[in-house]
Amino acid sequence: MPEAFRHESRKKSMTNKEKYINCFTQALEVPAEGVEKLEYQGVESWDSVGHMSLVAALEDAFGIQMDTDDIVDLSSFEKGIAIMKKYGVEI
Amino acid sequence: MKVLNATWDEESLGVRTAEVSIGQGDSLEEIGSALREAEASYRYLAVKLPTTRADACFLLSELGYTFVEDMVFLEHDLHEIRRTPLEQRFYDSVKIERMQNGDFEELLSEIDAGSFSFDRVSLDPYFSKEASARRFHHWLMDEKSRGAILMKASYKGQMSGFFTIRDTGDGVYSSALGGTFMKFRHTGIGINNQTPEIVKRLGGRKLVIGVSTNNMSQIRAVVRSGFFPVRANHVYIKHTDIAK
Repeated sequence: MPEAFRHESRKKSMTNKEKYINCFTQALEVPAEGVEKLEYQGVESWDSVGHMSLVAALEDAFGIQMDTDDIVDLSSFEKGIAIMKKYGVEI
Repeated sequence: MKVLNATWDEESLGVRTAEVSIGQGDSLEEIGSALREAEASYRYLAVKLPTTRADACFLLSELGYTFVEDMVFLEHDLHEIRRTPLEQRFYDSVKIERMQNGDFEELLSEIDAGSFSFDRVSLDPYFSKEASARRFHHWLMDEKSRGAILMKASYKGQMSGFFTIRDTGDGVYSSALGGTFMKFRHTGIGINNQTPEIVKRLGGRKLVIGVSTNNMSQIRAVVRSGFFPVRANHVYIKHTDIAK
């Protein structure tokens, strides 16, 4: 099985929580451990540039387009869970 | 080598201040001698050393100077900024326009409340946050008196930030001051850099900015907008009354 296809099918079989965590670890290049306590600027990589990468990752993972108000409000891992609910995504 | 009596900083910081610029051709002997002489007259010295003069770092250290930051100068040739669709959506949500009088008062309140705290003074334990705010305040007034245009950024009708633009001649503009207001920190809104587009509309050909390495997130944001680094200075400071 080609690697790209294997990667896609692995992504499809992930739970929403796993996908959500994955967005943070990949976009902000942080380990999964402790990610649930993450806040904006809690790590160096979560600045305005990291924020754009994180939002892009979330939009891609869940097939959504976030309102700018929600992009502005996304200030922590926890807050993001509430925002995802607005788009019908239960984490 | 230049030793300037920084009267503009003295007014803000409350101590006699010298701003020293070391040149490419200054010998270590000349630097040492000029600094020793300046220390007799000033209580606070800020020394700017081109990064190409790493040999003088050791001398400054021996003389009791503390490294506080690198000031990186970046330029933008006003080429079109490529934004992802997400960045473009975010960019479109922020309105940029010239400040009016009422806006200026709002900006001054934001500065006085300590909103802009990345400079070497605000990070210096020997200076107060109030001194840092005063310095920023005076700097802004100075830029304004030298003809800088003050622009404001608004998100949904609320002022979210500002920046200054000044024509320094020959189509070259500088943007010495700018920042995001406290309420809009931690929102990602700082990624929006519209300064090059404004300078292009004004007929400029190049924009120059200086960003401290103590503000890495700003460096990342401006590099993302197409600025490229052209030179850097190490900045060292000394409080002579504390060192003695």
